[in-house]
Amino acid sequence: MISFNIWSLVFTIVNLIVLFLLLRKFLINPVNKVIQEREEMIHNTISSANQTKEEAMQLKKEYETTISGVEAECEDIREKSRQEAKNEYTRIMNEADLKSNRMIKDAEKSIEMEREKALSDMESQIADLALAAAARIIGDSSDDDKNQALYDEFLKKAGETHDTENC
Amino acid sequence: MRNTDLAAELTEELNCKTIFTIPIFGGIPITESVIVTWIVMAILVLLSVIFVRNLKVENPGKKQLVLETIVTTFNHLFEEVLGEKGKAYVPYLITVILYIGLANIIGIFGFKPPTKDINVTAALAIMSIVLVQISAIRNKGAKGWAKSFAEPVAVIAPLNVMELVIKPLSLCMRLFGNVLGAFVIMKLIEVVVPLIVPIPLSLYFDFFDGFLQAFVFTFLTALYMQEGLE
Repeated sequence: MISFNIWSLVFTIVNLIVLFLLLRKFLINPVNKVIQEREEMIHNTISSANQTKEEAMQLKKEYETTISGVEAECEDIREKSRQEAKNEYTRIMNEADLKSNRMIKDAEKSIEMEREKALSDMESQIADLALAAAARIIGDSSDDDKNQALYDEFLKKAGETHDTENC
Repeated sequence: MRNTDLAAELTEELNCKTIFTIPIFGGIPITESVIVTWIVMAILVLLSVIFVRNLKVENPGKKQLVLETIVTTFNHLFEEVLGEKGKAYVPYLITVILYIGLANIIGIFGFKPPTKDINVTAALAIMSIVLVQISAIRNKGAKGWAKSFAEPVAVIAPLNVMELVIKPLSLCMRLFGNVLGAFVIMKLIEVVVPLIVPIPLSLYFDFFDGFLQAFVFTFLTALYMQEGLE
């Protein structure tokens, strides 16, 4: 039952070493390698995911600051444009006021001038008419002396009437 | 009459026959246990080659998952005992646990378990104690290793030296005794009640006890190594 056999012992040791080498080559090393590769892959994936997340958070923060800045800027611009519009409005209104006043004044002035011009025209026309009328009344018997006397008389009268008017 | 038959049969079963002899050095006998060891080796290597093919890093199949679970379970089991320093010895322990495990249950396939031969268990135990000492020397250096025999006090140094023999002897005998006992009991039961009854008993004596002894053997080896790796 218990029979020692040195050859069996030696063979078993050799067998064990051979089996160890074979199993290490065919079983343990490949499996461990795959497991290690997977662990590395998982590690890489997680670290890259974390990195991406961090970057995303960074970007988000940037965007948030940008957006809040933009909002403030918008408000600024709105306020400014409102102010500008108001200024422009008042400026235009003032200008229009001035312009219309000036135009009214100009118109008044030109009317005045027109009136004066018309008056003087009328004066000269009246003088001509008077002259013509006088000439017709006097007829052919007119010489220069008489004419001159008549002129003077007329002018005097006209001047008197004018003077009285003015006074 | 029947009793002598049974006794003769049992003795016949228990004997480790010499299958053939290599005619050199005055004849090297190749025993049954060595042949069965070769068969066990062939099965283990073939299974490894078949199952380890096409391992994938991503989306492993069911077979690969089972394989990985087995290997990682053993890895964790031994790494926990041995620690970081003993990682290099884990593959050997996995080899031994697989070999003893399969050798112990190969009886159900009609072979005589090689672990029933005391020469095989002795070889396993010698390998274990050699590995334990090598790991201790590599960890502490030859001086540290020699000094470690005088720890914790110099008086017990003889006991520590005796352990060099006692440890492997206990490993060897435990495995041999368990497998031999299980083998004898199963043979007796099969002779007395050849139907059905042997099945649950075989589950206990062959599978449970077989795997348990494989586990105990390697676990104890790992524990001895851990002492040297501290």
